[in-house]
Amino acid sequence: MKLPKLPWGARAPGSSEDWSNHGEDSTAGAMHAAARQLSPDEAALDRMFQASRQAFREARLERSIRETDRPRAPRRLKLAAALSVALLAVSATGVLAAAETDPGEPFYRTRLAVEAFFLPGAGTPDRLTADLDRAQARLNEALQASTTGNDNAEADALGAYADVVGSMSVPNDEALRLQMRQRLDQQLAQLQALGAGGSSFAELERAMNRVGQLIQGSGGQPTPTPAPTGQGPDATPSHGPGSPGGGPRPSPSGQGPNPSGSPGDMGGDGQGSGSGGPAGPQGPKSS
Amino acid sequence: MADEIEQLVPRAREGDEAAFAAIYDAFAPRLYRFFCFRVPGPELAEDLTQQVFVKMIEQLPNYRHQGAPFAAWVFRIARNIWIDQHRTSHPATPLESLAESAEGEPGPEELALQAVDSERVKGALYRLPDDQREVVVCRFFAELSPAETAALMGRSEGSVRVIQHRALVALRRMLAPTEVAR
Repeated sequence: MKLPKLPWGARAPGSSEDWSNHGEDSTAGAMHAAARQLSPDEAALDRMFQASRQAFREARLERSIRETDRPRAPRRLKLAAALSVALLAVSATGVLAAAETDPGEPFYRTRLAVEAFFLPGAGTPDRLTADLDRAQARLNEALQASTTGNDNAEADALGAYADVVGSMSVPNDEALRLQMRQRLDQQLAQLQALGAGGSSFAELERAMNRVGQLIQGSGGQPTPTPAPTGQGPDATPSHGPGSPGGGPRPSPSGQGPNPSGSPGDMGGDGQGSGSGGPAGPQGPKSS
Repeated sequence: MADEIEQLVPRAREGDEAAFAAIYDAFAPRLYRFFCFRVPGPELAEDLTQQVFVKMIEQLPNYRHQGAPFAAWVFRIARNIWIDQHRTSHPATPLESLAESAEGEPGPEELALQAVDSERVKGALYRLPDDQREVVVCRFFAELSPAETAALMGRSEGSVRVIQHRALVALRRMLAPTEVAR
């Protein structure tokens, strides 16, 4: 059955593309005609446009403000980054400078702190070995400074040595105790040699006390060392107890390793041999 | 036309007011008709059309052309606004019931169409299935292309063409007896 033609057959402009092939032109035209009657008038369009344009301008302004604010964050970031780089550079310079410093110089303690940062974990055999090694290194520095007569460096190195041995504890393992005892015996001898050479620093006394404690704690006795006389280990006592023995410098505490091997200093019997005999079980006496 | 609009979008996004005005000219009458068919009065249609542009301005920085036409994006905003408005004004009325209103008292779309000089077109439209009525509104009232309609409705372009064909055939059949009677 052929359908009758609709009265609204006029096709809307630009509306032919989609329905012309289906034979519903007139129906589509009717739809377009109905739609056209619903179109807004100019006044309505203008009202809507004014409102929409206002919204558009406000949004644009907001976006503009946001974009203006945005660079502030990067500026702050740049400043923070620059400060960080500067700080890093200063730190790196300090570390590098410290790496070359010797005792008595400004960055010596920084260098030691950096070294300490990389030590093995506390309580391990590796840590014990490392501590003994760095104690020996400090002692070597003190000996070197003593050789050159640099009292400041010697005191600094001895202070660092005292700090190292002060941080050490006696291990539980017998083999490790033995290792520690042997090495500290050697170091104690070197300390006593320093005292015999005339070193009289509080740091020396502190170091010797601590080493003595560690040696005793590890089951040994401080190694008998020649009494420092300031005249060499073979010096014969020629003065009474407590006499200074003619050394160039006083003992670290005024009572430290006694040049004459006096009992008050080395735990002897007051008849010290002054010739390298036992210095007494307590070693250097604490002040 | 669609290509021209797509070129205007980035400019409008950058704040070009002339580009925005061109987009407005292209869409305002179509959006207004889209709403006029669905809401009771021209004032509400005008208000909802403005809301679409405000929403569009807000969302424009996030718009990315990903194959779907810009018009489909705009009319999706329009449809969401209409749904929100309908739920606010008719909280207990399901959207589907609008199609049934032609059988009883006139619904908002029906009232809107009363201004159209065609009672038969109005009645026929409300007797169409939902998808056919939606296609007719999109194609003839909002003047969306088949591709834009397909993107808006989430269907294929071919499907839209088929639905449109069936809708026009149905409308023609529904309108024919009256014409014969004349």
